[in-house]
Amino acid sequence: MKKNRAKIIIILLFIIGAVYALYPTYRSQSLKSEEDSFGNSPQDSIKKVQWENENGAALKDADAKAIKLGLDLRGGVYVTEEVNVLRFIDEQALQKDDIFQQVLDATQKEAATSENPVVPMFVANFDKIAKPKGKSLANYFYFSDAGNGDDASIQAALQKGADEAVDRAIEIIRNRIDQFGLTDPTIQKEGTQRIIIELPGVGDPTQVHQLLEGTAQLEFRLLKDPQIVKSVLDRIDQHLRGDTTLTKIAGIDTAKTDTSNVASATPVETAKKQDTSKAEASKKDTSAKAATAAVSPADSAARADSIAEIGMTQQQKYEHFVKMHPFTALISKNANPQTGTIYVTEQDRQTIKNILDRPDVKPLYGDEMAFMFSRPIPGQNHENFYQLYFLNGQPELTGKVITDARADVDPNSGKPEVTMQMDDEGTRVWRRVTHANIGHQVAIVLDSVVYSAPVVQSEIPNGNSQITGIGDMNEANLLKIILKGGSLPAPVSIIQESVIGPSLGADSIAKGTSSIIWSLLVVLIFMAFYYITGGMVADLAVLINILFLAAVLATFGATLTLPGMAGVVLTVGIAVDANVLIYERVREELSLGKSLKLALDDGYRRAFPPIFDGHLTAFFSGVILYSFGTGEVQGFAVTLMIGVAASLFTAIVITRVIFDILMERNPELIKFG
Amino acid sequence: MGERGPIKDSKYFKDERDKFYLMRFFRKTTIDFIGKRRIWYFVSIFITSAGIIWALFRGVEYGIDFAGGTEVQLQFQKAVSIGAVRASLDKAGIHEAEVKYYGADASGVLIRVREGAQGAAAGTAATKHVLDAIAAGFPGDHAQLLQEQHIGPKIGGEQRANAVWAVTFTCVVILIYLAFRFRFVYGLGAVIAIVHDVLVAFAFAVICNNLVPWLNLEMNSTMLAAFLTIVGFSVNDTVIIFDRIREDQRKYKGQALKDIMNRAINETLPRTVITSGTVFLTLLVLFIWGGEVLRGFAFTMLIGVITGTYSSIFVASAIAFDWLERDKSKAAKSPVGARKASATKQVPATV
Repeated sequence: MKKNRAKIIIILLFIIGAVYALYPTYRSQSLKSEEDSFGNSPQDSIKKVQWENENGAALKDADAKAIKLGLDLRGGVYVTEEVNVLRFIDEQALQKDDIFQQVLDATQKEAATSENPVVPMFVANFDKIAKPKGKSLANYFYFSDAGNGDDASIQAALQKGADEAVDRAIEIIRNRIDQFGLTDPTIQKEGTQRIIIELPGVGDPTQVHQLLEGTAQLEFRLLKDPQIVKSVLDRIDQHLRGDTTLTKIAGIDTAKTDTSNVASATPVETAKKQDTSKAEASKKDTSAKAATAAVSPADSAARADSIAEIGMTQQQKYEHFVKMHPFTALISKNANPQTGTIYVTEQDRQTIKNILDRPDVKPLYGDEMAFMFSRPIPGQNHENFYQLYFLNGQPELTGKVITDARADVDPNSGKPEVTMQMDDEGTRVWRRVTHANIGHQVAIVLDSVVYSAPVVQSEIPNGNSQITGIGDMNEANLLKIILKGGSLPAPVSIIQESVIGPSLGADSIAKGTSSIIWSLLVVLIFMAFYYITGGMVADLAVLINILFLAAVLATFGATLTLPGMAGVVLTVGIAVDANVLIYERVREELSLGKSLKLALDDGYRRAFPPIFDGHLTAFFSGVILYSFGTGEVQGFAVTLMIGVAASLFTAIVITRVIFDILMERNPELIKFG
Repeated sequence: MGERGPIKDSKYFKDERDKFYLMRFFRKTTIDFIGKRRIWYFVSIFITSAGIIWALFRGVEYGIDFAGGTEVQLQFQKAVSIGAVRASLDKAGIHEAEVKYYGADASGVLIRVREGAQGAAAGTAATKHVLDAIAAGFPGDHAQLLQEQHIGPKIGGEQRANAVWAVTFTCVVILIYLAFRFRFVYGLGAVIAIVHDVLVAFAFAVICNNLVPWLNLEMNSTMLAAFLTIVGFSVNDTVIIFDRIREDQRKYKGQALKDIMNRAINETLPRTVITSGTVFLTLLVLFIWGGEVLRGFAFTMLIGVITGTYSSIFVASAIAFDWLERDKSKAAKSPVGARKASATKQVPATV
C-alpha cells in the first residue's frame, strides 16, 4: 500500500479531475431537457422566457465547457470558403500588359491544384516569366507603405493586403452570421486563404449561400434627427398599443423593475468601457441625447401625456408607460440615461428586429428611418449587448469612394486613430455632408451593422478624414480593414460544403451511440467471463479510459464526431488488447509454476515493451491522420490519440495498483481464468 | 505485506495449478507457421493482384470528397424507382447524374452530380438545381434532404493526394521506428505487411462495392480513416510477435530461427486470437447496427482485422525469416559476410 500511495493519489486526482471536467456536459444536457419541456402555448412561452432569464447564463456556461458534438451528430452546415487572392493581386496592379497576364494565367493554373499560398506562388512565376524580360514588380505595383519599392517589399505589401482581404472576408461572414442569430457558429481561418464555417442546426443550403455569397455593403449614414425619431417611435407605439405579447415582454421586467435595473446598470457600464468611442461620441452629441430623451421612460412618464397618471406611484407610472409605449419601453430597457445610449440584449435585439420586420409595422418607418445595431459588445455572464442606432433611411455615401485607409497611433495623444482617403467624387460629397453636419454623428455601416459612429468635428474639404476616440488598436485595425475593402464584392468562393440534415444527425447519433454501447458491453462481458477477476479489473480500466477520453475532449474543447465515436471503439479495442497481453503473459508465467506475486511482476514487466510499441505506433498513425485529414477524419485521430495515451496509463498503472491492493488484502480473489 | 501473504500464495497455487482451465481456448499449440509460408505468399499475391486488376479494369468509385462535385441524399416518404428519379432530373436538364439507393430500402436515394456535368448548374447552385428537379418530379412526395455535400474539384484532388501521403508517411514513420527498435529487416517485414493489408482491404472494398452496392464502399475520407486504422492495428499485431521473437532469441540462444519464430508465434497465439476476436466482435456490432454512415467503415475494418492478424504471421514474420535466412546462406559462401552475420547474430538488437 505504501509504495503505491503516490500512484493511488495521482489516480484519484485524475478521476476527480475527469468527473469535474465532465460535470458541465451533464449539466448542459439536463438543462437542455428542462428547456425542451416547455410547450408552445402562450403560458409556456412566458414561462420559457422566465426560465431563460434564470438559467440562460448557467446553460451558456455549461455549454461552453461541455463536449461539443460535431455537425454529423447534431446536423448543420459545414462550409469551406477560399478567398481569391489572385483576383486581389489583379485588382492591385496599376497597369497590366501581356507579360503580367501571362504571370497571372500561370499562377491561376498552379493555384487550381495546389493549396500553397498564392502570393509567393505569384512572385515565383513573376520571377520565372517576367524577370527575364526586364520587368520588376515595381513596374506593376505601387504601395505607399512598401519601403524602398524593391521586389521583396512589394511582395510583403501584397501579402499584407492579401491577409487583410482574408480577415475582411472573415469579418463580413461573422457579421452576417451574427445578424441571423444562429447558435454556436464556428468561423476559423485555415492556412492562409481558407475559411471554415460550421453552422449547427441549419438545414437549408440555399439559406447559407445567401448568407455567405453576395456583395458586402459599406455605407456612411447620418444619425436621424431626434424629433423625427420621436415621432416615428410614437407612431409605432400607437400602433402596437394593446399588443399583449409585447407588454408582457416588457411587463416581465416591470414585475422586477428594481432588480433588473440594478442588474442592467452593470453590463452597460462594462459595455461603456469597452466602447468608449461610441459613449464619448454620443455624450457630445445632441441628437442621440434627445433621441434617448424621447425613449426614456422616466421622462416620458414625467411628461404625463395622460391625466390618468396623476397620483400614481412611480411603479404604476412605469406600468402605465409600458402600456402606452410598449415599443419604446422594450428598446429602452437597458438604456443609459446619463450618456443617452441605448443598449439591448441579444434576445431583445431579435424581438425588436422581428417587430420591425412585421408587414404592419414596416410602413410606419419605411424608407424614412433605419434601425441598426452595433457589433456585439461583451457584457457580464457571456451575454452580448448591442447598441441601437436610429439612422437616416438613405446612405450619404457608399464605401466605393474610399481609396485607402490606415490604422495608426496618434503621436500627440498616443491613442489609436484611423485615417481614410476618398476619391474625387467622394471628397465632393463628403465635404458637403460634413459641412452641414458639424457636431452630428455619421455611422460607418457594413451590411447593416454599425461599426463606428464618429462625431463630425469640422468640415473635411480634402477627403482625408481622421477617426479618433477608438477603444484599442484591434478595433482600429478592424475598422481599417472594413474601410479599405470599400464596397468590393467579397472575393470568396465556396469550395466545399456539406449539409447534414437534422434527421440524419439524430439518426446517426442514435444508431452510432447504441451500437457503440452494445459493442462495448459485448467486450466487457467477454473479458469478465474469460479472465474472471482479471477481466473485471480490465473492464474497470476500460471504463476509466473512456472517462478520461471524454474528460480530455471536454477540457480541450475538441469536437466529438461520428468517426470520433468509431475512434472510441478502436480505443476500447486497444485498451482491451493491452490487458489481454498482460493477462496472457501472467498466465504463462503462472503455468511455469511461479508464485502469483512473481507472475504478476514478471507478466507486467514482460508485457510492457510490446504494449508500449503498439501504443506508440498507433499514436503515430493518429498524429499523421490528424495532420493530413480534414474535419471528420481529424475527429477520429483526436479520439485515437487521447484514447491511446489514456490506455497506456489505465492498463499499466491503474490495473497494477488494483492488483497490488488485492494482493495485499485478498489474494484469493485474483483469478485469471 | 504481512506474514500471511506467501503462505496464502503457495496454497493458492497448489490448488490452482492442477485445475483444469475452462476459460482457455488454447492449451499449448505447436503449429508450424513458418514452414507453410509459401502457400500463404501465393494466397496473398492472388488477393492483392485480384484487387489491383479489378480496380484497373472496372475502375475505382471515388466518394464525393475525393472526386469533387455535388452529392445530395434524399429520404422519400415512399419507395421510388431510380428510373423515375433519373427521369425527373433529365427533365430539369441534368443528364449526367449518378443515382443510386442509399440504405437497404428503396426510399433513400443518393444523387451525385460531378462538377461540370452536362446541363447541371455549376458550383453550389447544383444542389438547388437537383432539389428543384426532384420537387417538380415528385410533387406528392415531399423528399427530405438528409445530407448534401459540395466539394470543389481542387479540394477533391487535394484530398486524394493527402490520402496517399498519409498512408505513405505512416509507413515511413513505422519503418524508421521499427528499424530503430528491432532491426531493419523486421521494419521492412512490418511495412510490407502494412502495404499488404491495405491492398487486401482495398481489393475487398473495390470488388464488394461492385458486387454489393448498398454497402457503400466507395473511396472517401471515412475509408481513409479505416485504412489508417488497419495500418495501426496491423503494426500493433506485428510488433507483439516481433517482440516475442526478440525475447525468445535471447532465451533460447543457438536454436534455429525457424523454431524460435514458430515458438514466438505460438506463444502469442492466444493473445492474437483474443484481441482480434474482441475487435472483430466490436466491429461486427458496428457493421450490423451502426447505421449507414458507419457501415462502410466497419466492413473495411472487419477485413482489415482479419488480414492484419494474418499478415503479422504470414507476411511480416515470414518475410523477415526469408530475408535473414538468405543473408545467412549468402554469408556462408563468403567468409567476410560470415563474420558479419555471426556478429549480428550474437548481438541481437536491443533497445
